[in-house]
Amino acid sequence: MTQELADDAFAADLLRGHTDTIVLGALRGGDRYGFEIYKAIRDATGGRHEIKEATLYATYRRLVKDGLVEAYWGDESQGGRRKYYRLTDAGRAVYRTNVAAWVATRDVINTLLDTPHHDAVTSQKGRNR
Amino acid sequence: MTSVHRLLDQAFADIPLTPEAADLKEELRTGLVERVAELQASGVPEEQAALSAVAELGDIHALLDDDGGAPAPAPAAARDTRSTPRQAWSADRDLVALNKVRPRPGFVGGVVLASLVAAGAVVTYTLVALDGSTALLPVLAVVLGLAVGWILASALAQETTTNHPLPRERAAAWGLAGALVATGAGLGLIAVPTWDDRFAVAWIVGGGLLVVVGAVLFTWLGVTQTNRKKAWTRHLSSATASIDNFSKDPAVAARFGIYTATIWVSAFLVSLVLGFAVGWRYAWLPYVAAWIVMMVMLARMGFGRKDADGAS
Repeated sequence: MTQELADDAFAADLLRGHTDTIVLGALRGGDRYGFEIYKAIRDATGGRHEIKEATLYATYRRLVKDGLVEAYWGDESQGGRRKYYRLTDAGRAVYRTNVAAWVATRDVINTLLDTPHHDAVTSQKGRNR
Repeated sequence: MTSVHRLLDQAFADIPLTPEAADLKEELRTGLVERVAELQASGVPEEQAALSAVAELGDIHALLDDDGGAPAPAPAAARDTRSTPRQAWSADRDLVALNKVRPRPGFVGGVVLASLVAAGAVVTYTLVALDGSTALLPVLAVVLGLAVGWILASALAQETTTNHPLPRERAAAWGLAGALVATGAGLGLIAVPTWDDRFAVAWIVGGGLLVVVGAVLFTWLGVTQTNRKKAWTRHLSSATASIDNFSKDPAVAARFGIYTATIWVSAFLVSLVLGFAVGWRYAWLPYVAAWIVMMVMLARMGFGRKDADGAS
């Protein structure tokens, strides 16, 4: 029980450290609005580790400030209007750098922690992409 | 659904409604409405759903208080730049040094090579054209276009000290536009030595078409271009504000626009007069003159005077 709690705490922490990159990654396929990104992240993690909505909205604002994403209001007529986010070229470049850094870090940690070998194979694929 | 709007109003009750806060409130509203719908779909009663949706959101004050949240490595230094101009300058230089990106050797070699090819093509083109022959000119125009396109694309795909690289496909599109314009100009100019020839018009039309397609592509790329500037550059520019007169004084910018239009219309008229009176061979000269005049004017109007105290 305590072991499980520790696992969760560690994973959430790790995930939080990569919020920027995760949000940038969620925008690679196309423009999305705030709650859509939140849902995409929540669904991708099977609902187990969700990033708090307030954290996400703070992240959007920071990314806009740094020019990594651009925000614009959609023109929905019914219901509330949605604020969409678009990945910029700067955002794309930062995303690529961050993913490369993560892959390198993960490889080192995998080696140090002696985790199964198949991780190294997938990371190789990731690097080729 | 009304309850979620009421709760949102309550959450924002003690927050001064700045444009920024209003913006955030509207953004949060969409998310809340959708979350409530989600919860209701899973069987939660409306009132309860609204309450949990707002509760899940967390603290709104924290969202508005922090000025951009956790800073990137550079901003700490960038914030210092506000103090005094002298310190700002040295902090700028530190940032430039800190963020310096060395050009890749392959890129430098490639650009030098492509520049030599382009220069060689232009020189050969001129010599062949002066000779009165048109045999090699189309090939040379294409070679020039390819070299220009290659330089443009590889330069844009390259990371610089202040800019992130463009994605490959986009850089290639810029290169293609440059290649089209350069090739088109080269093909169009073939008409000059062969003016009496009946193919002259065909060269002008064909070349002009390529230039127009390239220009349209350039325009589309320019309009859809997103930010490439690195975060530290953006922090710097927001800290030091604008240095050009145009962003400080819209009237100067408007005057510059009117002068520019006048210069180019005059250049066009003079080129027509020259073409009819002296000969079409010299009709391009006014455009060169117009370009020089416009650049001098840009330098004087855009950056003149005001920076007398800043320059040293």
